This record gives sequence, structure tokens and C-alpha cells, in this order.
Amino acid sequence: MLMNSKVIEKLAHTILYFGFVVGVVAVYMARASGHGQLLIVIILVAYYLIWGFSYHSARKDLSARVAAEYLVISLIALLAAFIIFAS
Amino acid sequence: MAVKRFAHHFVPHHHPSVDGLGQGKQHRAHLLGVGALFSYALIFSLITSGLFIIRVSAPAILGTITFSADQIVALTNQKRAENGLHPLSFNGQLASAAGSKAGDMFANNYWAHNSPAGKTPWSFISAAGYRYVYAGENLARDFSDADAVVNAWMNSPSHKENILDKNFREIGVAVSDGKLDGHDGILVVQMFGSAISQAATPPLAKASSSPVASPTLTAVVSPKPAVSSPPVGVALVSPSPTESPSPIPEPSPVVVATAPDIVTGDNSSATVLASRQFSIAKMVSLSIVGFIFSLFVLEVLVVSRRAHLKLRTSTVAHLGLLGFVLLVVWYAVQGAVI
Repeated sequence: MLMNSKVIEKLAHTILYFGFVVGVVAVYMARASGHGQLLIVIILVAYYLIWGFSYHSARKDLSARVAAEYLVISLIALLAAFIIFAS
Repeated sequence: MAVKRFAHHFVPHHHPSVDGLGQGKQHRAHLLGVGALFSYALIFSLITSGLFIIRVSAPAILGTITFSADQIVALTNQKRAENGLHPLSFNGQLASAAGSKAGDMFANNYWAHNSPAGKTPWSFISAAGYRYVYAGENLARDFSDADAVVNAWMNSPSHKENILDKNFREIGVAVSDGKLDGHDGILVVQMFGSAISQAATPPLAKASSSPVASPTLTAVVSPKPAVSSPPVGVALVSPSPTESPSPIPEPSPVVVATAPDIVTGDNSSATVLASRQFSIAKMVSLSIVGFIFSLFVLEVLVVSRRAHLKLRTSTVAHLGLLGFVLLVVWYAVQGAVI
């Protein structure tokens, strides 16, 4: 059972990081378009939020504090992308 | 004790248990608490809003840097020299065509090789009186220095192909500032050409690999009196058009440049001014996101060295997103090319 949960943990984080790697490649491919890059960041932030909420729900440790943490970090990521690509 | 308390702002730690005997609950660095993160987001929002307000109301506050068409020509020739190609000669008619194109883009508010009215890049070249065998166009917008423009083109295969095309002999560039899509911005139009008079055996002047003798500045045959029809058989436009070889284009009606401050690189030192907003925004983003990222990295490092501390699973996810954003911001290039 412990072995299984460790495997699932690793799998969950691999899926998350695979998404980020795809995001980096996508941003590189869209390097000629600021709006394209902004869109990719928005998609990645949504992916990160969905992953975070699903992951913590599955672990049964999704509290208001954890949710707020994910939301604030998402907001900071979006602001960084917005200030760069929408300026 | 004071040092330890100070350190608690940056590293995860245990607070003493209520009975004062053992270790209490694990806490993350105070500077990574939800309240602190919210403060960063708030500061970031205020800076972002401030930058936008300043940009609209008083852009000069952010400072400006100069930007000239001559720099684009020089940098383009530098890239060609690095690749063993002959330099392109400046051509006033191509520069005039580029200026007209920039003016038309501002006047009709579009960002494309072909205008909404169907004007192709070749119609501007023809209207300027340049009769060509080969022609090409690169466009860029909203960059704040010439180096960044040429680098962005060199990073795009189709634009690089134009810059390093051995069939081209001449170049004309316009750098222009004005309003596009409701925003102040800078357009760079780069026109390439090889005039009919310069082609050894027109129209199929497939150049050999050895450099051809440098073209002279004004070997362009004057166009015949105006015929309004656009050139027939006009070719590829997307993503960076190159026309080769073409039928001899007849001039179309002259396009009047309506945008202000068009600088066409005719060896003048005139420049347009670009805002420093992008570099300021980049610095702010890197500082704030980098600071939070560093705190999370510190958390991972501290936890990995102290057996009594546990790594919170959310930290790994936050590190991933913030690392991704840092990479994107670090490599972000201002402006766009087509």
C-alpha cells in the first residue's frame, strides 16, 4: 500500500512536470509571438491549478490554506506573464 | 535567539510545542506564508498597474532609448558578413517603399504583410519606382532596440532566410512610431530587393555560391507611367514574403505615408524613441518571482538536510510553476515579427 502511494506520488509529479516541459517547448516555438506566449502561460497556470486541486483532493488534504496558496502563486505567475507579454 | 527568529523568515522550522518540551507543528518560512505571498501579489499588481498608467499618461517618465533604421541596415549586413555573404546596398526607393508600408499599416491599423485592402508588399515597392527581379519583406513591431529586432528575425527561419538570401542586392528600412491597435508602438519594415538592372540574366538570376560583385546604389530602371493594376503573379506572403523572380511589375498608385516620424535609414542619424517599459517590467518580474522561487529552493535545501523537517508536496508544484515562469520571463523578447 505504501509502495503504491509512493508510485502514485511520483506519477502525479511526473505528469505535472511533463506539462511544464511541454509548456517550455511551446513557449520556445511561439517565441515570435508575445500573445501566443501569454496564452501558453495562462494554459499552464490553469493546468497547475487543476493539478493542484485534484492532487490535494485525492490526498484529502485540500484545505482553504492550500487552495489560497495555489491561487496566489497562480496570480503572481499570471501577473509576471501579463506585465511582460501584454505591455 | 534574535538571529534564529530572523532565520525563521527564510527557512522552514518548528515552533516549540505548547508544553514547551518538544517540537510543535512544522512551519514554513514566514516569507512564504499565505499572507506574505498575498503581499507580493499585491505589490506586483500595484507595480503592473503603475506601469500601465505611466505608459498611457506620461511615457517619458520611464525613459526612452534611440532606435534608427541605419542600425537595422548595419546589423543586417553584419549578419550577412558573418555568413560569408556580400553586404546589401542601401536603396532609397526600397526605403521609401518601406516607409510607405509603415505609414499604410498605421493609417489602416493592420499588422500583416498584405493590407486589408489587398495591397501586397510588392505594390509598395513598385509604387516607389523599384523594378525588381527578387524582393522580400520582413516586419517587426514593438521592439525597443535594433539589436533585438535583428536577433528576433535571425531566430525565425523564414526571416533569417530573407536576411541571408544571396539573391538580394539592396535594402531599404523604415522605422516608424505611431498608434497601432490603440497602443503607441514602433514598426520596422525591412524591404529587400534585387533590381532588374542588376540581374545578369533576368529574370532567373539564380546566384552562384560565390559572391557577386557588389551592386551599385542606383541601377534601377525608372518605372513606366502609372498603370493602376497591381503586379500579376505576386507570390508568397506568409510568414515573411519573398518574391522571386517576378514579372516586371508596373507601378501602382503611390501610397502616401501617413504615420508620423518615419525614419527610413537614408544615412541620416534620425531616430525614433522607444520606451524602457519592457526592460523595467522584465526586471520587476524577475525580481519578485525570483525571490519567491529562491525561498522555495531554500526550503527544499533546508528540509533535505534536516531529518526532522518534511517537504510539503505543494512546494514541488510551486517550484515547477515559478521555475517555468522565470524561464519564460528570462527569455522573453519584446515585440513580434512576421
